[in-house]
Amino acid sequence: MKAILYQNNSDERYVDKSLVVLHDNVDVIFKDDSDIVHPTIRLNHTLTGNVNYVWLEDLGRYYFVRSKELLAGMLELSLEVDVLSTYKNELRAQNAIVSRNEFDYNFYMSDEKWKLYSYTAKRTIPFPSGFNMGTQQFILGIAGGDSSGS
Amino acid sequence: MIAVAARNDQLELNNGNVINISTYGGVDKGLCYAKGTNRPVTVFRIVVNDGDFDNTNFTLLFGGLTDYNTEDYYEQETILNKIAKLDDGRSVHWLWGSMQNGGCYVRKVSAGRYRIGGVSGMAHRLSTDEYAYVIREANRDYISHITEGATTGYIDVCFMYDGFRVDQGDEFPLLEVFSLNNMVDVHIGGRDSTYYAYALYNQITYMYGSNINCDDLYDPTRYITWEGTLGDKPSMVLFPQWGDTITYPYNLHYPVLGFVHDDDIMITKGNMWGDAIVDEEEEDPSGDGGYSTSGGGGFGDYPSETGNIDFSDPTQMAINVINSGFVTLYNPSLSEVKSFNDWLFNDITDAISGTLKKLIADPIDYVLFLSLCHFTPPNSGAVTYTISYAGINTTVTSKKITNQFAAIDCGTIHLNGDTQTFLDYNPNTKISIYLPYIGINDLNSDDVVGASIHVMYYVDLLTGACIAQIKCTRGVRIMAGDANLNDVLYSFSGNCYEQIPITGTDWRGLASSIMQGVSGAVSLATGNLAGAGAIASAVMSDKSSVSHSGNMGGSFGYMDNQKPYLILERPINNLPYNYRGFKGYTLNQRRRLGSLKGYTEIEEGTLWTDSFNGISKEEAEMLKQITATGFYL
Repeated sequence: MKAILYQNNSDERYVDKSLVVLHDNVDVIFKDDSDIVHPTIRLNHTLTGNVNYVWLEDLGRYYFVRSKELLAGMLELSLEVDVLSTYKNELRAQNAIVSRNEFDYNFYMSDEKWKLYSYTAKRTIPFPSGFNMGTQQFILGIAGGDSSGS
Repeated sequence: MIAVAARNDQLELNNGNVINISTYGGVDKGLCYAKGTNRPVTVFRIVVNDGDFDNTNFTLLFGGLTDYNTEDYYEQETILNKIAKLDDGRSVHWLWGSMQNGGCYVRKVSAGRYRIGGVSGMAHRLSTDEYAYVIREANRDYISHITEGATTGYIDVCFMYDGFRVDQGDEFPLLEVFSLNNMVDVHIGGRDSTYYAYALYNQITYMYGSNINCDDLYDPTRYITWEGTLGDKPSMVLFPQWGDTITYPYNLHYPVLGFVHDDDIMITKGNMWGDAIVDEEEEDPSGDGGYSTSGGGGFGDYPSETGNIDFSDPTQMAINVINSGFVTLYNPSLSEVKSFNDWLFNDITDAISGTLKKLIADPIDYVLFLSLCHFTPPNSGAVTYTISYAGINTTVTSKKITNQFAAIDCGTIHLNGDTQTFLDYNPNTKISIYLPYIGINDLNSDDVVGASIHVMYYVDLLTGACIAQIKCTRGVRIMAGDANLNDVLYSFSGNCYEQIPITGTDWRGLASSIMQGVSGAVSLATGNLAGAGAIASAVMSDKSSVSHSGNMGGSFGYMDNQKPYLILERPINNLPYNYRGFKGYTLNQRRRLGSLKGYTEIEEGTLWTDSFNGISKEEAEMLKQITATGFYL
């Protein structure tokens, strides 16, 4: 089976990885008890560079290299499938309810992850008018009737 | 005025032009056409008289490109050669500019080609006192007097242009309207290599405090709108949303759809904010239980009209104590009060006294009250009246009160949210109001944030009893289920008279009531208090509730502040640099994942992997877990 060995420079959580091809078209074989999610491959190849990422052609999947062992002259790599990169096309075509995003968001949805300072900001906003301390008017109430005006 | 339009609607304007909002390549766009033609036209003009452009009125133009390339990008020359036509036949070239680099200048590259660049510095990106657009008339290009490298002052009138999203130093799109001269104060963000519209908008509003509605900026069904005033006319601008600009290096951005200026321009009313997000391939979205375009259970079905409860205005009552004849209210000056006092206690002759004693045991009881107040009551103006006392004309004249009730208009303030986030509302921001003669009372921040708040006092001049009514007015906010407000939501009572005791009995009664009314207890909320760095709601809900005032009626209020004011207390959020790159912000919307980029979390249970080619059950579970805990598109 053919494999491409990479150096992955991206965080594992990225769908699109920043990859550097270190060894292309490498012949590998599976260890007997491998499965497609956590396969172990063997190769008779001298590795250069930091091989931490693999593409297995027959399985059509990308893998993280979790461990390397040298056994009887063969290099044995324990792998774990990178589901994000392997299924990125299907993932991008999918609809889902997005709870959080870096660029698409609504600030009017409450966000329990925000941290606040213990103190608050306080300010006042005066209304433009109202009563007037400089105005002093008497109001006199007298029982009974009208009087003549002038 | 709020104008809304539904996706795929046609906005018909009263000048006969129409705006078609349609879908092209999955991204909405809008062009304005002269009715019955395919000729794009300028929809509206904002006429700004700044005297800088050949001493004529400067016209800020909105419009669309003449046509669209079917590709996902335009060559620079192609864009530059897109010409919008004015109604009068003049051509307008849309100019490009750089927000990233701050400031703007235009430089002619060659015939028909212009380049706008700028200098660095975010702080200076709005600091240009120049504007730029090009009108090509005959063989002459009118270009503003922006010169290369000039970046100073504030933008007088900003410009619109269309372009690419590219790296620093190159052209990229921006839509912005800004004018100091005519009180237009709106900013919407542009896109550059690092900022999205909303993020840029936040920075702009932080600097300038504009009044923008932005919601779901990455939703192509949404529109950025702005409402405000241009001169003395209500105005509104519709801007289309950005489309999918993640994947491609060159992206298509769309110009303003239209502008409404004054009530002369009408826009057909739709239910834009209530429209569901419907993928094109989904025929009947109501089946999935999430969204529906019509019928019950979906957005847009909530009643949004309010009852319009206005101020009560008792000054309009036809029958009151004034015209009953049993009580006469006067508005004497200080000297007239003194004269009346002299008449009352010194000038009553034996004959008058004898007459009075036949009518009533204690003649002083004809004086119902004497009070001071800090406002001018409705009175007879220049006409004065002889004060009649038990039917006996005194020697004193005075103005008469002409209405039992007085109205004191405290004015209106518009309260924008300080943070333009959920922190502006309950339970995070606490708002209270000081009302003269009443004290400090809490308001619901959900009612008043984003609203115009109008306070009116009505005073019963017979007793000094006053009510303060608070009316809140705002339009529908950009959220499903919201309703507009134009109602009196609060009414508080007090007494605004400083009573003047006439007799010892009066004084004793007054002093007693004052003593009984004194209070100043402080109460504290009980329960567990949130620690430092706690989440938003925990901090604010655990804050101590402290009484800010006691009895403020009568004499207390007479000495206190005489104008109402709001007291705002809001939390201060602590978001580390690039927080959104690590954690994102809340969205809670249905999206096609390919339309997103950056840090993303998927709501558990909403990612379906059945169609993923060859995926195993274990891989599916891994994928669901990773997408739920956070990953990067």
